[in-house]
Amino acid sequence: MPGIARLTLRGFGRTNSVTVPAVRPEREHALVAAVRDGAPDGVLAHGGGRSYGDCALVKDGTAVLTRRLDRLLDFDAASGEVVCEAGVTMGEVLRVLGPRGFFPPACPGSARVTIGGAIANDVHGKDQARAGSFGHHVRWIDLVLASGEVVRVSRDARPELFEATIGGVGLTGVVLRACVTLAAAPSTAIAARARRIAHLDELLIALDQAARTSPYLVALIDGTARGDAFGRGILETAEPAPDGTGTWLPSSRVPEVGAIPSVPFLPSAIAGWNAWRLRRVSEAGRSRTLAAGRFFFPLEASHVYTHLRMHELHAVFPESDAGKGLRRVLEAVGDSEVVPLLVVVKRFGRPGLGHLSFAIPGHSLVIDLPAGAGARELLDRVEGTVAEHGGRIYLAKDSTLSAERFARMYPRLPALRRVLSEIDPRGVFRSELAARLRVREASA
Amino acid sequence: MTDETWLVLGASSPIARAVARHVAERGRRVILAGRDLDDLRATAADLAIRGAPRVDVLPFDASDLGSHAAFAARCAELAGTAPLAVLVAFAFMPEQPDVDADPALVRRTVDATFTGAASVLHWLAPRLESQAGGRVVVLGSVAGDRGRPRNYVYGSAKAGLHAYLQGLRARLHRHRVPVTTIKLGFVDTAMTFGRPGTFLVASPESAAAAIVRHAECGADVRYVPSFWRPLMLGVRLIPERIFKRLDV
Repeated sequence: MPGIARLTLRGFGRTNSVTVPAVRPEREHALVAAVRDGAPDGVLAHGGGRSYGDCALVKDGTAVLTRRLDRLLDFDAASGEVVCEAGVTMGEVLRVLGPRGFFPPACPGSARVTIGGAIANDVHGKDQARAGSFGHHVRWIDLVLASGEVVRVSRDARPELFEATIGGVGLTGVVLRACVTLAAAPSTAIAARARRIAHLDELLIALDQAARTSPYLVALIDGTARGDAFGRGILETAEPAPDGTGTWLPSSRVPEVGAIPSVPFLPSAIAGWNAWRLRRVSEAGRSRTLAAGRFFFPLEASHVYTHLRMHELHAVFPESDAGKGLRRVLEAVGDSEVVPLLVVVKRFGRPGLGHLSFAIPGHSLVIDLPAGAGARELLDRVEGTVAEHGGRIYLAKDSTLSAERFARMYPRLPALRRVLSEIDPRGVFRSELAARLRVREASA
Repeated sequence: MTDETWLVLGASSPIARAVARHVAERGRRVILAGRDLDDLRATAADLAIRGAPRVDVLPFDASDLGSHAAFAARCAELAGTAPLAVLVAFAFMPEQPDVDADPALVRRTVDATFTGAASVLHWLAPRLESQAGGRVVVLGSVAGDRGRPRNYVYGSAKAGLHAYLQGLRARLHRHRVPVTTIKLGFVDTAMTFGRPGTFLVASPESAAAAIVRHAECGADVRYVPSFWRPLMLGVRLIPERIFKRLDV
């Protein structure tokens, strides 16, 4: 049948893939029709393909690709409110509206994340402590329900459905359009300062201090350091530069290929790389002004790195835990034979709006682990630690969590289940993640 | 060149949208024409945010030949004193087996792909002759270079269009209005999505960038992507005696 292609869709971590019938509507009514036509067999929206695991993948059903619905429909330069279709990307918002004085809010690390995906995963950026997650900036959503009906949901109109859709990993429906309040920016550049951090205790203190003075903060940790240097790294704080230009966006011409075959990572090579990066920042620190895109989208800087097969462990620990869980996870990774390629710590400040929103006030930890020997065992151990410490795993990155731990980590799951059983009792919207984590069923 | 008003015919196609974005971001006025007015209004909003100083939406049905005279007059009126740059981006390409099962589709294909284009261009031609500047760019197809069993109804309509444009090019050349024929290979649109036998598919954005470049330098005939030129030369050189035996 024309218009339906069998495509292999991958998670961004290249660990999960499905080959499914896919449709790619180019007009809004075609998207609505695609949901209606696909409903008997199951439907899931697929946007920029930047979710690492299986949350944007469906095996039994039709993938509705939203990237072609990429128009900006309204923009108010006074309030910074933009209405756009679901397939508009963060990079495009920055490219078009950056020069007009606005940045995408709660901007994640990839320019190709779509507005629809940002809502479904309630994404966040380096400014979570101050700006919260993406859902905090969403005024309303036009959502295509399983019946094909389009409803506008917001904090005032059907708030229960709004909260189920923010971070709802696509299970309430397909985002057609959304109205988002952008972040005001005096220029298209970012002023960033980096300084060295000697060890984990210093990091936790420095993050708290930085959160009070800087909107953006992120720490790169040397996951291979031991002993006194355990948890050493670089803390980068940043704010919009008062002047400066350049949005810098990645070339769209680089083809998306499957995955670079697994290569063995020598621990000594990664340790050497980490030490070199640390040395690049002098004792006195480093200040620079860079194009906003370079700051927001580190993931677009390397086409090789983003094609590696990897698991990205992304956890957040509550404030009350005061870094204990963070320390235990870093220790567990250090003790395993799996080499952490990248370790990032951020400070979170505002809990997400949605029932399955990831963010809680506390510390967020990202560890990139090459897929292969030992990775799954390590993740299993670490996920246990995260649960014990009252933390949670980010569904947008996950491909290994168990249903039991998921239910423990997300206490608002019953509220989401109630909404789903009401608006989509037949389970039209489904994903591999939802099946694995038994999002719909009450656990026995 | 800066005061051109771009008239985009068949503006719901992804290539037309991408071309419109290109010119809108450089501050040109745009007239979007097509059948799906809701869709065109969404594109119009997008273009205005991206920098088009003014965007108009006009209903246009390529197959409704009787409406073309009034349509051309309305376009001239909207453009005012500005020269028109015309992009013809509409076509109708049914699957060949569907045409074979229902020969009525032959007429629909030729009407929407050839007759509609020739007709509207003919109604616009006097205005194009009288204006200072402007241009015409028409999306043809490599399918028009040689009739193939898999796609020959559509291909023959495009071949007719190519021949029409040769004549129009000579006519408007006297008035310094270039006419550019773009012979498109596979572009990643709904026309090719999920169709077996497509390869080396170009993105609508990269195709649009090339189309605007060729149109603005007043090229005559260009293949997009450009590697289709040697490829189609090879295809055209195959003797008919052999070609008729090939399953292409």
